[in-house]
Amino acid sequence: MTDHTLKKLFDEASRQDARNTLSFQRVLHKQAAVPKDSPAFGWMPFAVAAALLAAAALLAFSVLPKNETHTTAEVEQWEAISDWTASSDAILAENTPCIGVSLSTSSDLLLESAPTSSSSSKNQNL
Amino acid sequence: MNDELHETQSSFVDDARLRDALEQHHAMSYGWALSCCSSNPTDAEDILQTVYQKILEGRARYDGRAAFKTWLFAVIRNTAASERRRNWIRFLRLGSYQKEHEKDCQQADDGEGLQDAERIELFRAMLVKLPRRQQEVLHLVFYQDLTVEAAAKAMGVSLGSARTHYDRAKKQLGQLLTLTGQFHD
Repeated sequence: MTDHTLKKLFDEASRQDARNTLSFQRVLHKQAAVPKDSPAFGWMPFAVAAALLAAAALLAFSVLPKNETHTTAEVEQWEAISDWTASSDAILAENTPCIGVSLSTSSDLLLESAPTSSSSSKNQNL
Repeated sequence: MNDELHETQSSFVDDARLRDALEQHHAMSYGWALSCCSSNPTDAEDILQTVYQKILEGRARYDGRAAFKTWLFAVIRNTAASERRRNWIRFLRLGSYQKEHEKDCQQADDGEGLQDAERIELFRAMLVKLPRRQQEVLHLVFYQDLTVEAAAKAMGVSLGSARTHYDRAKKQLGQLLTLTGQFHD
């Protein structure tokens, strides 16, 4: 395909376009079906923004208070745990050994008769 | 057509002169807008209207660095590109238009020979099969009689890139047209 053939085809296309061209004034003052500054589906960005705002509002008014309630419930649960007592607590209360009171066993004699090591004596001295 | 408009925006002090310059280039601008809109006349008119408003309202200013026509074509091309980006629905519409277009051409092709108008329609259908840059450079050079250098400026690409697109476009379009059996040298 030569440049000359292409040129002829483009020229013919140009002539065809010229026959179908609206005048300058008509194009300039053409009443667009939809104004160019708000093209078809131009509302979409606003719709997306509104949807995001709605989602944020939903999050703020539903999820966040739920979290707060949950936290309060947890606190109440912890408080309940601190008051909790087991049935065996009574035994502990009655049989608490007195700290500082020495209990003697049968093997205590061996300890008394055994020679004390140097390190332990040193420790004792310290 | 007076292509020697190397006046700056400041020389178009009055709206009337700017309007005259636009009117003078209107037919060529329409052809270029068509090329930027895959030959959809409605879209081309909408793009042109937006461009004229942009220029007359001073939102696009001619600084005199290139010929008025080259600058105007760059504005049209950029406006068409931003419209495409902004409205993805337009893509779908153009896609269906293109399919209808090709179907029509196919039907026309079934006949023995094609009338001139039908041949041109077939030619356009083959043209829109090329990558956009290739369509643009061919249109600017063969339809608008711009040099490849001026076409590169209007397209916003380097001269080397424009030359590559130009060579590939001619080769590819030639092959497509030959395949139809309707175009001969």
